[in-house]
Amino acid sequence: MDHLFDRQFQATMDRLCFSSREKKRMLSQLTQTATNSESRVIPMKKRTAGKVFAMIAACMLITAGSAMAMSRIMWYEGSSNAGYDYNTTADMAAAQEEAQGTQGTAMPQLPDELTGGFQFDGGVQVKTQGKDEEDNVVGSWKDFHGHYVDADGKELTVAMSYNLTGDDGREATEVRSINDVPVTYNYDEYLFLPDENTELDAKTKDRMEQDDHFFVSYGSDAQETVCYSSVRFQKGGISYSVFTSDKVSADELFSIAEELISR
Amino acid sequence: MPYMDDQNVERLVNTYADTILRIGYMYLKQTCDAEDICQEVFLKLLSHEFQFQSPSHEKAWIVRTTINACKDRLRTSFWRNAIGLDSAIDLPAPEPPDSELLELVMTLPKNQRISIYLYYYEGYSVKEIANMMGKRENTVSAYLSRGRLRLRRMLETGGRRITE
Repeated sequence: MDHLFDRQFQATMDRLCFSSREKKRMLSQLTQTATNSESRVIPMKKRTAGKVFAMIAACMLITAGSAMAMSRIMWYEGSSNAGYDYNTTADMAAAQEEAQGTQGTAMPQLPDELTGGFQFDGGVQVKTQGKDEEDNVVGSWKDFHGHYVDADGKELTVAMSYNLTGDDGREATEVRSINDVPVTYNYDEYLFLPDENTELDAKTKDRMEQDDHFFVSYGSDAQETVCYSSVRFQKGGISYSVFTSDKVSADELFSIAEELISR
Repeated sequence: MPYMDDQNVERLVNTYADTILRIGYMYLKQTCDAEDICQEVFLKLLSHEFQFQSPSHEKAWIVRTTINACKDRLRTSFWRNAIGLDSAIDLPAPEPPDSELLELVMTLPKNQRISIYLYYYEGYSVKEIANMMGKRENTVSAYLSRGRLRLRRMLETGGRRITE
C-alpha cells in the first residue's frame, strides 16, 4: 500500500493549493500590513491566540451567572481575530469610540503600561453574544481586550465591556473597596475538556455544584486544568475585568484595578 | 520590518503558502480557516528578526509554527460557532480537491492525518515529525501505523483499490 498510496496521496495534495491570483492578493495584503506597521512595530512577544482566548472564555464564564434583559445568560459566544486588531492603545481607543454608539459613556483609553511593569502588547475587539438555555441570543455587544506582558513574559488581559454583569451570585475570593468602588477578586480553576459530551465523574460533578470557583469549559484541544486570577469592577457604565493565568498576586491585581479606577 | 523586503515576501509566499494551506486543512478541515492561518504565520515570520541556518531550517520553522497556530485555533472553539472577524474576503478560499483518498484521510483522527501528511507528502522522518508536533517519536510512529492500518481497512472494506 505504501508505494501506491504515497503517489496517489502526493498527487491529491498537489492539487490543494492557492491560485496565482490568491497568492498575489496575499502578497499585497502582507506588503500593505508591513508598510502600515513600519513606524510602530511592537514585536509580537510570546503569546498564543489560544491562551488569550482561554482567558477570554474564563472571563466570560465567570460572568455566566448574570441576568441580562429578561433572560439568564447561560453561554457566551464570541468571535475575534486570531491576531491583534490594534497595536497601540490609541488605535484601540479610536475603535472603542466608534463602537460607543448609544452607550452613555466612552470607554477610556487604556494605559501603555500598568503597575508591575506590564506593557501593552496589543488589543482585540471581541463580538460577544449572550445566549440562554434555549440557545436564544439575549444580547450582543462589542468588548475590547487589551493584552499586557511584563519583562518576565507574564501576561494579563484587561477586558472592557458595556455588558454590566452585576452580582454573579457567588462568593468572591476577596472583595476590597477602592475609591468607593467595590472590586472583587477571584481565583478560579477551569477544567477544559475537548468534547462537551464527555462524561464527568461524580467528584467533578460535585465540585461544579458546590465550588463557586471551579468551572468546566468545552472545546479545548486536550484536557487540561488552568487557574485564573481576576479582579472585576464597574465604573462609569463600563465593566472591567483584569485576568491572568500567570502568577500575579491578588495585591498586584488590586493595584492594577486601583490604577484603572483612578484614571 | 525585519526579514521584510518585497522580494523576500514574494519568495516566502510562493514557497510556503501552499504548505501552510495543506497543513492548516489537515488540522482544521476548512480551507478558509487554513487561509487565516497562512496570514497569521507569515505575519509572525515577517515581524521578527529571524536568522535561519538553511532553507530546511526555515521550512521546519514554518511547519512548526503552522501546527502551533492550528492548535491555538482549535482551542478557540471555546467559542461555539466562532467566526473570524477578518475583513470580507473578495476571493473564496481554495476548494479542497475532489478525491476519495483525501476524504478517507480526513476521516482519520487529527494527529494521525497530520502525521501521514508530514511523512508521505512532505517527506519528514518520524523524528522530525515528533519534533514539530511536540510529541515523542514512539507516539508519532503509533500515529503513522494506526493511520495506515485504518486507511488500509477502509480501502479494503470499501472495495477500493489504489491503482496505478
